Amino acid sequence: MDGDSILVIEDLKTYFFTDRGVVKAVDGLSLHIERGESLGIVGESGSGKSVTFLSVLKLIQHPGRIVGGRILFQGEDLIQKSESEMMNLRGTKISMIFQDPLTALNPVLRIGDQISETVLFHQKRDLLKNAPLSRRVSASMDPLWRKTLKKRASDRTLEMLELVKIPSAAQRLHDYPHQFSGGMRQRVVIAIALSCEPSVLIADEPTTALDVTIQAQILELLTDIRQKLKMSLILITHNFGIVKELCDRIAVMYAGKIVESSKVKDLFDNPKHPYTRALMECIPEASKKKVHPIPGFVSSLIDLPTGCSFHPRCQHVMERCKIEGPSLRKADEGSYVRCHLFNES
Amino acid sequence: MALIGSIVVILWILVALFAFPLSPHDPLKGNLFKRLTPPSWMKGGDVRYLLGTDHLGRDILSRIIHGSRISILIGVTVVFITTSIGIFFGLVSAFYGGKIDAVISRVVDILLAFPYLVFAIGMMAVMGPGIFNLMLALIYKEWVTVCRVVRGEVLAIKKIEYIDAARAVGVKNAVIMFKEILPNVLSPVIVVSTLRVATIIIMEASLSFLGLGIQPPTPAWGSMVNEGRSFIFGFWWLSTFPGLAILTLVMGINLMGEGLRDTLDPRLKE
Repeated sequence: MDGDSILVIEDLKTYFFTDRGVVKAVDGLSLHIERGESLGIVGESGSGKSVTFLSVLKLIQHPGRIVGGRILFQGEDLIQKSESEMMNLRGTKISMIFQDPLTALNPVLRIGDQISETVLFHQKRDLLKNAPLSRRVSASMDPLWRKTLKKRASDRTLEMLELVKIPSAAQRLHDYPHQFSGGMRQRVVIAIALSCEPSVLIADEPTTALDVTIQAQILELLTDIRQKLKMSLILITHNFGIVKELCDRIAVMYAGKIVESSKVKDLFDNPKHPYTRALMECIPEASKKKVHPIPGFVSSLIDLPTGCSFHPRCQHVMERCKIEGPSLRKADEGSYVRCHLFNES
Repeated sequence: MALIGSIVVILWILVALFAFPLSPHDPLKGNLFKRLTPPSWMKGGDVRYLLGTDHLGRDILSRIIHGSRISILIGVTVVFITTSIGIFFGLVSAFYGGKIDAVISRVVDILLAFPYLVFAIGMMAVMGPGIFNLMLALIYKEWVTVCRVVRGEVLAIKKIEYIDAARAVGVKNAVIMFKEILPNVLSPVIVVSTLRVATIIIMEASLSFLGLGIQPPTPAWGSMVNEGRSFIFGFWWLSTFPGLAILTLVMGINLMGEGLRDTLDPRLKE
C-alpha cells in the first residue's frame, strides 16, 4: 500500500451482539483505496459489504459495534474520532448513497430543501468553526447573514441538480420525491451526497433498484462526476458487469473478509480464489447455456466454520483448509488472495 | 359527517369568540323575580329568556354562551401544551432509545395505569380548584397519549433509509429529529390531538360537575349541569341545555377528527 491511499482499513472487526450470539459481520477486513481511484466491492448478500462501509462512517447502530481495527482516512484514525468530529466529516469528506432511491429521500420534504439542508449545515459550521459563542449567536440572529447563506445554499443546490443532469432543475427544486421517477430520485440522492464535495463517495448498490436502461445512465453519470470532481469511488455491488465497466480495482468479499483483490482486468482474466471463480460461473451470460450456482449457502456468521470460512463450499478444499484459516497474501503485482492454494507460490 | 362536525365546531368557536355581543343577558347577574323561568316556548316562558333561567334567575342561554369560552379555551390550551410536550418526549424517547427510552416509557406506563378522572380528581384535591390548577391537573397526564403515538411512529420511521442517508451526509441529530422525522409524524398527531380536545372538554366538564373545576359564579357547562341537578325534577332545562352544549361540541369535534383521520392518515382507518 503506497502513500497515496486516501482510505486504509486495517483488520476491521464489526460484530453484532444479538440474543442468538455474536454475528461477525466484518471480521478482520483490510482494504485500501487510492485518491481518485474507483474500487468495486463484490460479494453475496450478507457478506458484510454494507456493514464495512457503514463502519467507515461509524453509522453502525445498536447492537452492532466496531470491536477492532483501524480506519485511516488521510492518515487519521476514524475510530478514535468523536461523534461530532465524525459529523463534520460525513458529507464533506466521505459521503454515502444507498441502495433504494425510493426510501433514501424524505417523502415530506421538497427535494430542493433536502439538498440545501446539507449544504447549509456544513457551510454554517465551516464559517463559524472557531468563532466564539457570542459570534455564533449574533450570526444566527442576523437576518442578512442567514439570507446570504440561504442564497448560497440554493445556488449550490441548483448547481448540483444540473451536475446530476436533472432536466429543468430550477422548476423541480420545489417538487416532492414522489413526483420523481426512480432514476431521477437516485440522481437527487447523488446530488445530496456530492453537495459538499466529498473526496470519497461510497455507493451502496446504487443501481440495484433501477431498471437496466436507467442503471446505465446512473453509472455513466457516476463515472462522469468522479472524473470531474476527482474523487474516489467505492462501489458496492453484487454485479460483476458493473464493476468491469466502472472500476479500476476490485475486491471480493466473503463472510466478512476480503478473499481476493486485484486490478479489474487481472481479476477477470485470471480469477484466483475458488470463490471468485465460482462467482463468475454464476453470471448468466447470453452466450452461456447454463449457470453454475455455488453449492450451499453463505455460512452463518454466528457460527463460522473453522479454518477458511469458504471451505464447506469450496471445490478445491484440502485438509489444511479445515483447520487453518489462510491470510491475505500477495499473489501477483497488485493482486492479493486469501487461499492456501496460492500461499506457497 | 365530517363536514357537519366541522360546521358545528366552527359555530361553537364563533360563539365563544363573540360571547359578549351574542349573549342577551349578563351571565352572572340574576333576576330573582324571574328565577326558574321555563324556556320561552313553554307555558310560563319568557321571550327574553330563550332557554329559561336557573334557580338564581340567570339566563341559561347567556351562561351557555359564556361557558363555551371556558370549555374551548381549556380544551385547546391543554391539548396544545400537551401535544408539544408529548411530541418532544416521544421523539427523544424513540430516537435515542436505550435508557432514555426506558425511563420515559416507564413514566408513560405508570401514568397510563391511573384512570384519568381519578388521577385528575386526586390532583385537584391536592392543588385546590381553579382554572389554572384544572389545566395543570389535566396536563400532568394528557401528554402521554401523544407521546405514545409519536414514539411508535418515530420507531418505524427512524429505520427507513433516508434517516441513514441524512446521517451519512453529516446532519446533526437534533436536525434529523425535528426536520426529517417530525414532519413525518405530524399527521397522526394532528388527528389524535383533535380527538383529545373532545376528551379534555369532557374531563373539564366532569371536574366542574364534581365541584373541583371551575368555581361558581363563573359559567362552565359542567358546573351548570351540577347546579341543575337538584332541580332536575320539574325544572329539567337547568341541566339539559348545558348538557346538550357539551354533547354537540364533543360530537362535532369527534366527527371532525374522524374526517381528518380519513384524509390525513388512511392507515389509521379501521
